[in-house]
Amino acid sequence: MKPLGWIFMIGTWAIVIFLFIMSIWLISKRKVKYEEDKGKEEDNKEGN
Amino acid sequence: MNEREHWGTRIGLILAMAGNAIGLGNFLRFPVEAAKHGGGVFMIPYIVSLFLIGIPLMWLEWTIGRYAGIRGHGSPPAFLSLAWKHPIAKYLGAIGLFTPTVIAIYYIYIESWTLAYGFFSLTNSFPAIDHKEVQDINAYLTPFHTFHKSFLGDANGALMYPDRYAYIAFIITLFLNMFILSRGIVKGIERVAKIAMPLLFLFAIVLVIRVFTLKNPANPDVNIITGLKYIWEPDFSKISDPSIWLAAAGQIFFTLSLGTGAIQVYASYLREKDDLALSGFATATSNELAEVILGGSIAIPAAIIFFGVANAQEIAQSGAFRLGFITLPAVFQNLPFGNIFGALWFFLLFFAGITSSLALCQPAISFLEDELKLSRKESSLLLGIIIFFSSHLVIFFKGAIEEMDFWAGTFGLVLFATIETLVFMWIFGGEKVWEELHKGADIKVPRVFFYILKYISPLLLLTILVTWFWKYFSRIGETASWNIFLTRGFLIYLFVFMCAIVGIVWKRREE
Repeated sequence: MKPLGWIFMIGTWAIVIFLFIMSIWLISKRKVKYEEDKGKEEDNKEGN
Repeated sequence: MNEREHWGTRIGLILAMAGNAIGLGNFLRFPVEAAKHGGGVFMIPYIVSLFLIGIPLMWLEWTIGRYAGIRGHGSPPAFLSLAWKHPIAKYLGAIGLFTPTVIAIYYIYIESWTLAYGFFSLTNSFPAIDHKEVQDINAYLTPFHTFHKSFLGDANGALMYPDRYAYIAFIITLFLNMFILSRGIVKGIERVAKIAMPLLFLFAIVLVIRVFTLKNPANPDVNIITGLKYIWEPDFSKISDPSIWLAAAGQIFFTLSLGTGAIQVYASYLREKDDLALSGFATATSNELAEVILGGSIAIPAAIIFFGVANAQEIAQSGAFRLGFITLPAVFQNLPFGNIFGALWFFLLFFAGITSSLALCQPAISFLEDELKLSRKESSLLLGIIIFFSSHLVIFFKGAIEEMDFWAGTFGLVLFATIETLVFMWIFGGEKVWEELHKGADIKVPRVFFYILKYISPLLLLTILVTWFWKYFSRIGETASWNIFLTRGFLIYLFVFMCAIVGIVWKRREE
């Protein structure tokens, strides 16, 4: 494969992997907040 | 207002949404499209389309779904009539009910082939061949082609007479879909997504590793580099060809399952303060990972390693079904433990298929539950009966799949996406959509996407719609056989029937 082919392949893969890892990393950072909100909602339901 | 079910966990929601997006197209359609349209250069319009159509529309559809869901509605006619207080809005929404239901009618049947072929692989039921230098690919693949034709009962004439295994696999697949749907969001769809999606990624990674270590038995110089070269080496002469840009935009559209109504319906089961922006983005990136890296590294490279570039080109030109159901079994038959790799391939497709078909059925289930007040079990049973009888059209009548795929799976999707984008961004109000998207959001979406959603995405969607209209609508006037007219008649009947039901439900509500 010519160098340009490698650049296209590795470049596209890098973009896709970067976007995927970034979204998963952001989710893992926000996971606690989400679980807390869910817990609060369940508490409210039980209270009602 | 009735209490609607909610997703149990965020990971379950994202896996279910990714399951909706990751379908047969990721592993069969994408590599064929990339190979046909200039290889690496195809990725330029593909990535541009991802940011100009894919991700913005994904956010819009999540927003529409949650907005309607917290108001007690989860069906496409309700989405549009909530945003636009015009009598026609609910009928335009009926397109979003009609399209996924029609796709489900043929998609479940195709999905059942993957289940049957998975078992054929495990039990070594494919034709036995010895690998040799392939001179004539058509002659070489004839036993597999005959096997596939006999499975589908594809004989001369307008009718098909499927093998009993094809029919049994269809019944099992339909039953599985309806059983999972009857269990509801958390115990059904979410639980299946949590099992099927990790397995799908695992199977895909195993297959990628196997393909990367493949060599042509007759010519060891032909290896994975030859395969990757074919897909990735750019042909810059094609970059100025508008059809490449249109194909890339179309692929982004199909791969993210936009315009099916399924994303909105899944999002309607979110809570008011649940995040949309980050979850929608994660869904899109998961799909891209499965498509670009895994989907692009299995079928076409394997075909090239075994059959050479010229033969693989011919295979790619003749469509995704030939690649997946005829060529790949022939490749796996030549490998040690090929039956295991073949089974992994077809069960991978089955998992990709079932997580998508569950999503395709959900708009109709949601309509029956939310608007006709049927229970989840009653809705699943009723939809199961409708799909069972309707599917006989695609099982027994030649050309019905292609006809339904054109009207619902191609034209209907783009039409509905264009309508919802115009209604929400221009009638309901772009600023209100933007505000809704950011309620409970875990990330702030860059403002540039507001302008993309308001101006660029609708313009691109209209361009795709008009171009396809121009290109394909001449086929209406073409001489077609009676089975094609029967299929068209069925589609018209189904759409009119759905509009009538929507009209009756809304009239009763107004009274």
